[in-house]
Amino acid sequence: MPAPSLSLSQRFSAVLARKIVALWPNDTKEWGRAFEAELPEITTPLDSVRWVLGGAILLAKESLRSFMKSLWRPLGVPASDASSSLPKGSGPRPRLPRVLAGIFLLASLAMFCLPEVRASLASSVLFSRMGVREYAHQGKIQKLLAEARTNHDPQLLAFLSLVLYYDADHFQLADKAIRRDPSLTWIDHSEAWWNSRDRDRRHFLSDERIERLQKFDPQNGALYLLTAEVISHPAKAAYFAGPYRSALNETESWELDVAKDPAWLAAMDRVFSAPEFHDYSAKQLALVRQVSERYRLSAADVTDALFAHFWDNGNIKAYCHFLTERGDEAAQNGKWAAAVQNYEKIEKFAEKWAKEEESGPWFAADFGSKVTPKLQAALEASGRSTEAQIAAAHSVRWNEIITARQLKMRQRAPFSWLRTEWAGLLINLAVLLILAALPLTIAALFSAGLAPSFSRRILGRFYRVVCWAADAAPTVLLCSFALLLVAYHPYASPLQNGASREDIVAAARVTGTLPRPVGILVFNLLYMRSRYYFWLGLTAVLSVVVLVLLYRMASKRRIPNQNI
Amino acid sequence: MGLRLRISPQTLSLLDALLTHAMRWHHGYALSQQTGLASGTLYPILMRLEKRKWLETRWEDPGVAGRPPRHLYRLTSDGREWAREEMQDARARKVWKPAHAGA
Repeated sequence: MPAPSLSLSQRFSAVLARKIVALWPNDTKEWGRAFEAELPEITTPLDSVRWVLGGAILLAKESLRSFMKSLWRPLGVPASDASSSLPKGSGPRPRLPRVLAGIFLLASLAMFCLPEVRASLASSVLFSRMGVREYAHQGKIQKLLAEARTNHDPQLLAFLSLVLYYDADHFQLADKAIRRDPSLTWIDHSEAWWNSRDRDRRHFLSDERIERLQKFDPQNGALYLLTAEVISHPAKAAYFAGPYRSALNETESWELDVAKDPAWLAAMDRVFSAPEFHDYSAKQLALVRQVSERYRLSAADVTDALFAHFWDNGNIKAYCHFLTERGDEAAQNGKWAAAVQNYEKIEKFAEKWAKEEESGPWFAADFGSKVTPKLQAALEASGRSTEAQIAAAHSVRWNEIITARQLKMRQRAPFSWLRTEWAGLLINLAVLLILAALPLTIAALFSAGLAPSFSRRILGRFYRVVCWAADAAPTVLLCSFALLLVAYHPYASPLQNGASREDIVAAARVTGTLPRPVGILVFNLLYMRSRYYFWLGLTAVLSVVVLVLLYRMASKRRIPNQNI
Repeated sequence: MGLRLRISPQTLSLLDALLTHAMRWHHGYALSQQTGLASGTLYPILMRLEKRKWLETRWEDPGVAGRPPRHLYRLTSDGREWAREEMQDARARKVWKPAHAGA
């Protein structure tokens, strides 16, 4: 029978129908063929076109349905194999639906995009690799430096001079900032702090700078302390270079030496009699806040070093010893007025220090608590009973401060971690999990999703591990990111949240210096500290993988020969 | 009857066509002509009916050379019972009347 001649539209419909069937999802392809098989029966060209257009709409619906259904199919499982009742011996396969794997990965990616998550990750990883916090943020600081060179913002220059205290050029930055805005002269005082970390380099703040500071703020006794420290330095250096002896409450020999120096006594007298005594921490905090807001610095870890300094009490202690001894001598001789004068000088200084400094009470209490009983006795002996009662009240308050401090120290030690330290442990664990789960997720999803049959053939029994990783790793990755976010969030933007200096130090501590007991070992194991170990480890891992693959391939080839 | 199927006028129309000669096998295009449904509407209904085991399908024996075998459809016994109930219900509620009712 000769084939009926087909019109152009019918031929077009037939071609289109074949294309439609070719694109039809596999699980319902039979219905596509059923639709196509009817086409030769349709004789009118218009009807055949309508039939094919209906098929195209049906294809679109089926493709969408199949796509939606496929989302709930685990990776690497074909549509025909998606039924829950798999025959026994069909081998392991992932169970996590691909839509969940995708959601977990997208959610992880979304969390990674959060600046605070990236900041904590970078801080943990860089600090662990480099060991020195200051160098971990070079990139960020260098960008700010480049910006400061173009905009000459005095506050940014001042900020950078403080942050880059370890850099040789930081004084130039400070001078530039002060030239543009003389109200920033106080930053030189902060520059002096950094040197206290290194006894040998101490006091390299030049006389000109100290003089400039004292002219800038003559009311602040802390600036005269710099002069006293310069004077006492040779005696102190000689003393500490010799055999060390603990003399926490005793007068050390260098103190006796400097007490003979009228210049040192004059400087210390100005320290004690100046109306104020503070280290400009309030100004420093305000500067850091302003610069952080202006230049969108959110990580506290860049600035923590600014706040992590402590007073060196050596000269204050020496002068207190000097005044106490003078007071005791006067009291022994019955010169109560002179005794009161010397004791009062210490007590007033301690009061001033406690009032003007955030951490002042902790330091001042040591001096105040020792002198107030003596002051009280001297006042009583000289018949000034009302003032003696006030001194007694002060004595009680100093002792309360000391008790509170001791309580806090006791809570702290040993093995009692601060909240920030626990947070640090969680952050570092989360970072470790992310670093482990991320490559595992990528490898497992590629292996199980893109080449399941190849992976199954090559890996054999080990393919079970791939399936397990494909199921677990995305979940672990998401949970790790969530843990990192939750643990770091309270410490993410302390500058913007109006945190205190102590909070900022704590916030910086969470990523860098923790966890002390566990983390150091784990980090040392995981983060290769040198390229040599990195390449050695990588080569070893790849060698093992190649050996396993070769073994698998060799064992596969032997099987047919045995059968013959 | 367990699962409920959304009974649209198009579904009722198809059920009516399938019930007309309930024991005979029907072709897709013939059903389309009987009901006036386009292929894009007809086949989703057939697929849903088959999924619920109310429709049985088979492929035609290859006969004519150069022409693919066609797909055939008829209601199962469960399907016939269910279809009749639905049709009665639809008629009672006056949501559907057969095309030939007024003729």
